[in-house]
Amino acid sequence: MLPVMAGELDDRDLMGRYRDGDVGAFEALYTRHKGPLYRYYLRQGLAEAIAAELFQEVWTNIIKARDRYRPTASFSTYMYRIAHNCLIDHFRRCGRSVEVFDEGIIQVQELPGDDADGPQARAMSLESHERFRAALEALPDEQREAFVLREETGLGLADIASVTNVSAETAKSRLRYAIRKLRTMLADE
Amino acid sequence: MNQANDDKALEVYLDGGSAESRRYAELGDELPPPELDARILAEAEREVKVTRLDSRRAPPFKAFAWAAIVVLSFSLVLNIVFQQAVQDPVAELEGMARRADAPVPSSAPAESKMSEIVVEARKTDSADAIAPMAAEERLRESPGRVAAQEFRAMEQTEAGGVGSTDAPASRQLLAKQATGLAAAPEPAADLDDFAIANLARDRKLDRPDAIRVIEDYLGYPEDDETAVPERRELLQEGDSAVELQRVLELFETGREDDALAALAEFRSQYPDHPVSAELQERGL
Repeated sequence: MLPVMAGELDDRDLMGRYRDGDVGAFEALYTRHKGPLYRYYLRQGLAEAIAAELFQEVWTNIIKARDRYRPTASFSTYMYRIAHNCLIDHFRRCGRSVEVFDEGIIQVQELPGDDADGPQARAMSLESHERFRAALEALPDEQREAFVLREETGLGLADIASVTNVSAETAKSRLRYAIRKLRTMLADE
Repeated sequence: MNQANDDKALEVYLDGGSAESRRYAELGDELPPPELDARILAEAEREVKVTRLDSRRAPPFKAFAWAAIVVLSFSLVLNIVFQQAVQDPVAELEGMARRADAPVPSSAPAESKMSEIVVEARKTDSADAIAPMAAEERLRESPGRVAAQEFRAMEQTEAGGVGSTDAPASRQLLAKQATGLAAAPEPAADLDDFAIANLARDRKLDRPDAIRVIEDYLGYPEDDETAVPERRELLQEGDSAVELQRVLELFETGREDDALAALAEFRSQYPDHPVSAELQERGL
């Protein structure tokens, strides 16, 4: 098999080559997606160790399931669906509520008002990017996930809906609320 | 901020270049630690090796399985072919009888009798005495002549002491065949000649069972040989032929004294009977 030129092949081709035993194709695929996926977890407010653990879990699943991979959707959609499921499983293990991730329950968790000890207040006191990071962490999980997916992968609303297993309208609502809250939190800058 | 504003803000955001996207990008491009990269890439490579190892194991097994299938199939085919080849020759005789008799409409009764012969032969397990190729040759002749030749062959076997214990059974079988075949006009004449010739010989060899079978066939009551004059005439002709043949055989085997004695007896019985050219050459 010819050596892989990462820039020449799309994700599905690379995955197909790896399925056929080309480790180089996997390396190209990994190099292409490792940063966004790693940050997807980091931006969820997880500790680095947890983010790394979930990150590795996603890739292990991809490696193990390579024979079953069917290029019916984009590789990004495929990979982030796995990533989303790993994240939900992690939240469940931690006892964190995941109801808001479910379709039909669009609970907009309003940020605390003028609570001086709340995340919003803390965000206001930090430097610019740290304030933004804090504002992001202050978002409800499902809104934050939608926003990070959009930022890290450039996925459209339909793909975000597919990854998070909700309708396109729900995905749009989550993203809309996320933007509004971020703007509100950073309005004073 | 109302719904319309939210939608507009979302549109701006999705179009790109929004303040939120810019601020997000400022957070940095963190990457997984190198050791994590190495661990994942090693896992990817290990899985491929395991798969290759499995696939290397698989071909010999597959090859073995295919080889076994081929060998078993070949054996099965050979077995079938061999069984067909060594199948009961009577079955083949049956088929040949059909082929041989089919083109001649007048032999239809004989055909049915030939089938009976085959059935009888199967019952008496005498199939091994009937070589298929020879049988085919015989079947080209008239059915009556075939039966006569069969009868003669058995007679010779019995005279040689081979299968003598089966002699009565074979005689009866062939007598049945002869009786059946006599229904056909042409074969009947052959069988009559044959039966008469053998009757004379059986009388000389003192074979009462054989004599009775043939006499039954010829319609000779044992106590009244003259009941059917034309048969008697045929019997005499058969006797003379047998006598002459016997004389010739004695000469050929070097027993000239016996041959001369037999010839003298023959002349006393058949004074006007012409002798064969061969005997004349010997000065008889």
